[in-house]
Order: sequence, then structure tokens, then C-alpha cells
Amino acid sequence: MKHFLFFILLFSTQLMAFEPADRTSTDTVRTEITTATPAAVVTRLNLPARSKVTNSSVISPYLIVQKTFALYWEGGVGVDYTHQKLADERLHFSADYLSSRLGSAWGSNALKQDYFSAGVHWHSWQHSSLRWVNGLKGSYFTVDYEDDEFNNLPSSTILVAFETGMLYTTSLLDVKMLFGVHFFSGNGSTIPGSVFPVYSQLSVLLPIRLNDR
Amino acid sequence: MKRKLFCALLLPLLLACNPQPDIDDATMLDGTQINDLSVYEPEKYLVSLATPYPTEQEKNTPVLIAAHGYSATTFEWDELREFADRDGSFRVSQVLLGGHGRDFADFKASRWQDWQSAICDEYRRLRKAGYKHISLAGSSTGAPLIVQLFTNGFFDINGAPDEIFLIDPIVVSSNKLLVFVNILGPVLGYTTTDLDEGEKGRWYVYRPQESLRQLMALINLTRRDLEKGITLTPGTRLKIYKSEIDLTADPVSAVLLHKGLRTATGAKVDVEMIPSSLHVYTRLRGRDHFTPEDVDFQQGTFQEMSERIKL
Repeated sequence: MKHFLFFILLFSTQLMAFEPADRTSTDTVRTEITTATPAAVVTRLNLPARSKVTNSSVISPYLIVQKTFALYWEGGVGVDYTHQKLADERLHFSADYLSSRLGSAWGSNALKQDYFSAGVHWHSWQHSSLRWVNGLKGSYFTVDYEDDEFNNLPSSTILVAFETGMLYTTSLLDVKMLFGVHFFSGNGSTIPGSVFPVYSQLSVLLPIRLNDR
Repeated sequence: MKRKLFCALLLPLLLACNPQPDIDDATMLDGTQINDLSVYEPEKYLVSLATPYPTEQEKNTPVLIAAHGYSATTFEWDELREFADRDGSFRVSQVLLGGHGRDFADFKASRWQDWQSAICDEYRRLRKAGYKHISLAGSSTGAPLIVQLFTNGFFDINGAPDEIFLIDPIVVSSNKLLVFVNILGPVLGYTTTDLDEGEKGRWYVYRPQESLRQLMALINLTRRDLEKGITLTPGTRLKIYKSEIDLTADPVSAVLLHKGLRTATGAKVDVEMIPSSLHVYTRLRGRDHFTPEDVDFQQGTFQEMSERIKL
């Protein structure tokens, strides 16, 4: 009997030891159980396991300088975005504003022209400090002729360009050099004449890594 | 093995470099048998040679030096000369640009400064002979050649002209592939132009890459000079006439000239956009197609040029 009572006491003590101290502890146990199932699904999709370290996005504001071949220098700003879910940060989306006002037209008679662009780029050699970048960029282009006599000339258009180049990443900054080719350029009738076919761009990016909660 | 492969790849490229065009001497201006008529009878085209010793009245009669465009000849301004003969208030001196109107080899060897020298020579001869009122008109490439005379001080030395007319001036080419001429030119060797029946024998059919590079150098230099600003000589007026649709000289050329040129008093130069789709709309002869409106544009411009010269 003594032994039986001692067993009961010991069992109760053990139960108390494993008894959740409060509601929070109970939730923790439940959370572990519920996350177990999605983790299995994620594994079957062959996507990286979730963790606070890897599940993050990178936003990179950048300064950009463009030289159109046989035409103007142009300057501007933009922002690049990628995420761990975007093919392990290989796929990048960007938006930028570029203008000759921040280049050749600064204090000169060059045409004042602006580009509002959105791009999508694929970064190869992801784990190297030197990456190969390819992509497409669409732009709304507009130019100011500054005189009513030229009202009948085309002053805006949609541009599509293929871009290729390299990105060099350091611990602080990324430096990107791209060469671009417009699918359509000025033709003397429907597209503004200051759209030239080939350009090069130098961008300096400041990557900011944001961890998901 | 790598060297052999490199040679095998390079050889066809080298063989393809600078090919020579197939020139028909009997029918093409590019050949050695046909030249511009002003080569044979320059006194019929140049006022300085037609009247080398002008009277006082002739000295006071305005003379307009008309410069044609790239690969063209004096033919481009024949209609203006005929208009001036009928009008009677001014005379036209049709210069043949250097390297033009002779043969492919001459064209290939010439630089844009050689093209320009024909304008300078006629201007100097007219000044030396005592002509007091000299104006200039340039069509297409003739326009940047004249504009360059304001940047190199030519008119400061030889006296200021009265009026400048730029007809469909080229500062930006409509065909943007021209910007690659320094890269692609040695491989291409030359380009070919389709001419209307009435233009045959009066324009070069083949454009050697060397001359295309000269054209690109000229218009690129002019664009950069315009960005800095070009001031005309005191007393000189200038008007730009530009077709709104032009598949040779991009209409934006007129914008660049209008922004970059100023009179000596700092005023903007005059500009008029013509609702035409012809390049050098003032030349209709030799074209297969043009409309009654094109005739109106041509005659209207000639009339206005005459009125501005007379003022």
C-alpha cells in the first residue's frame, strides 16, 4: 500500500511537472503541432525551409547614370526589390526615374527628356560576388520641346529595352553596369527623334535586407 | 587548334570588309562618265564666275549661296534658281559640295571640311568681287555645313551674311543605325540608296562608309555645339523650315537648332514646321510622287525666302 501511495504521489508530481504553467505554454505546444503539417508541404514543393535568417527581402535604392550612345548623359534614382521567394533572390523588380535634366540638359541646350521605367531582371551566378544580369525594361518616355511650333511632333512614347550586364556586390554596396538596346527608336515620324537605340547604365545600389516576421 | 579556329572565323570577316560596289559608269553619278553639270559649266551655277566684275547695281543685288545635301548635286536647287530668275530680285549661286557630283572615289576620299570648302570658296569670291548682300541656304547636310561656319569664325573674317535658310536640316538622322557607322562601317563598306527615275545620274547611289562616318562626325559635332549654344553674326537672321515627317533628317533636328541658335541680340531664330512628308520639300523635280500641297509648300517657301532677302 505504501508503495502504491508513493507511486501515486510520484506520478502526480510528474504530471504537475509536465503540466503547462499557463495558457501561453499550452499555445506553444499547439503551435508546434500546427506548423508541422505546412512544413511537410513546403518540403514537397522543394522550396527552402522557413527560418528567420533566410526568409527575407532586399530593397536597394540606387543612383543611376545613363549614357545614350551618340547622345546624352542622363541621371536618376530608382529602387530594386527582390525576395527569398523570388527564385532565391535571382528575380529582381525595379523602378526608376531618369532624366537629361540631371545630365546633359543641366545648363545646356540639350533636350529635357524623362524616362519613367519599370524593369524585371534575372541575376545569374547568385553565389558569386560578380553576377550576370539580364532583363527587360519598359519605360514611358517624354520630351519637352519648349515651343508650340513643335506641337505636331511626337513627344512621348512607350519604350521596351533588353538589358544585359554585370553586378558586383560588396559588403556595403552593389555596383551594376548594364547595356541596353531599345526595340524601337526614333524614326522621323512616330517616335521622338531623341530616342536612340543603345545605352549603357551605371548604378550604385545600397542593399537593405529586411527579415520577414 | 584554337589559333586555327580563330583564323577560320576571322578570315570571312576580313574578306567581307570594305567590299566595292558594282558601279555602272554609263548611268550612275558614282561612275566616271557622268558628272554634275556644274563641273562642266561652273559659270552657269556660280554667280562669282558668271559676274566676276559686278557693276554697283549688281553688287547691291542680293546673292543667295545654295548648298545641297549629302550625296546630292546642284540639281537640288535648280527650282529655286528658276524661281529667282523669274522673281528678279536676287540671284542664286549653286555650289557643288566638295567630293560630290563626280565619282565614288572622290566621294569616298572627301572629308566634311572638303564638302564645306565649296561654300567658303564661293563666299570669299563674292566678297572679293564686292557683292554686298550675301545670304546662304542649306538643305539637309548643307545646313550643318553652314551652321559650322558660325562656330569656326569664318564669317568674322569674311563678313556677316544677311539671311540664312535651313531647309530640312539634319542634326539627328532618322535612321538611327547611322550612330553605329564607326563600328559597322568597315564591314559594310557602303550603303545603297533607291533613287526615283528622275533622280538617277543626279544623286550618288552608293554611299561609302568613309563618307557616312564624315556625315556622322559633322552632325554629332553640330549637335554638341548647339548644346553649348551658337550665336549668329550681328545683323544675320536665320529661319529653319522643317518637314514634320522626314525619314532622312529627323524633325527633332529643327528643335535642336531652334534651342541652340541665337541671333547676335540673343533672340531666338525663326522656325516653321511644314506639314509635309518629303525630305527637302523644296525640291520636287525628279520625284516620282508629290502632291499639289507640296507644290504650295515649295512655292510658299521660295516666296518667303525672296521677301526676307529683299528686306
